[in-house]
Amino acid sequence: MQGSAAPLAAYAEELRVAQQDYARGEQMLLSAQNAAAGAGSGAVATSDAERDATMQARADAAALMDRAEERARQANEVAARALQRAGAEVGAGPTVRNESSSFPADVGNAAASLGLAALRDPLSSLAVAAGGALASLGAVGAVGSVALDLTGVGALAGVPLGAASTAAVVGGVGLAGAGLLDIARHAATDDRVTPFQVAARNLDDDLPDTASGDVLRERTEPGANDRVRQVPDDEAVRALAEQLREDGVPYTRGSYPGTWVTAADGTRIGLRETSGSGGPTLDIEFPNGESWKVHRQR
Amino acid sequence: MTSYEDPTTKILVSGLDDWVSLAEARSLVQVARGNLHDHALRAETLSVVSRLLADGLVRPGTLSDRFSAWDDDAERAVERIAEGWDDADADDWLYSVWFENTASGNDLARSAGGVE
Repeated sequence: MQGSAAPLAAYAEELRVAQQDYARGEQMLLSAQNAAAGAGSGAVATSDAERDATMQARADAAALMDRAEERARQANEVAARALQRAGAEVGAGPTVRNESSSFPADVGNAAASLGLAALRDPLSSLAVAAGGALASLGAVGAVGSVALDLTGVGALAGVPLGAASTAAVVGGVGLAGAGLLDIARHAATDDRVTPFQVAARNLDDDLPDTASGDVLRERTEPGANDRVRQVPDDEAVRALAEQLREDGVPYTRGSYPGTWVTAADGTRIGLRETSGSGGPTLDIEFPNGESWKVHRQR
Repeated sequence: MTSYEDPTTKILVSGLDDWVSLAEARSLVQVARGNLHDHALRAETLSVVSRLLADGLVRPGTLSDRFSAWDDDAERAVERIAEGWDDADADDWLYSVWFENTASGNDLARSAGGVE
């Protein structure tokens, strides 16, 4: 376990630096875009040299962000390997979440996801599966072998972190890495942990407030995943399609294996018979840009 | 407080359920990143897709009565997607490219709470 602490500490530092670089790149890109927008509006006289400078600034920003991503990715790999070793030390017990995904892989993947998440978005709020993780955190405290800093605990427990500074969050994640090791041990023995989980937005309230959204609220129920709704069977999918697409304007759309209609409220609704979920599926594009799907219950 | 949505994870979770069109990928990026100008949204979507392909988490292809994966490597696939986006009617192109999760992609999606 001691052997895993150093890589995780390095992981925290690498992520912190990468996040700073990425943020700097974003700022540079924004500045360049603003400069270009000002020039394009005619408000600012633009010389070739200025245009070149703007393009160079964009390229520099993109390169900086790319390097930051690579840095975070490499740090994630180191952290994931450390976590895998930690998991291997105690073995993945009978509480592995499913047959095709081992616990160490889950934790490693979570580390990778979190690293990139920290890089791209300062964890304004990260939904985390609570139950097992919280129980494990309690166990960590009981064991007392690792001091989790507050931010780290927050990250693991899914506490909204919007108020925390990015550096603190990233550092906290790193410090919590040691805590993760204990969670790994605990999870592999008598608990079950799903460290980081994306919240599914598929409830009635998540649907856009449009006429089509109202129909979905009325006639469908939340599916298993994000922005997926379901109905009892294939016939119900087609009946729903008929209702949603009634009086809509049909049109073709590339090689889409089905037909599209634009409804009166501006929602675009595609119906295809081929889907990975089996049976007919509705692809629904709301005017606000959100894409939803409807298929039969699985 | 804005809610956190990582488009790469969202794409993978959606891929557990069904093939993901380029249009859906773009939508997930748009929701995650806020109101981006079309050009910036295109660039960000390509960036996200590029990472997924480079990491071997999804494979690109076309969808007719079944999914047919492209033979291209990740780099070429991204070029092809970008070129198509430039050349073709973008609205059509967005439903001409689909993604299927690889086994690794499915693992990551499950670890993020996705359900098959």
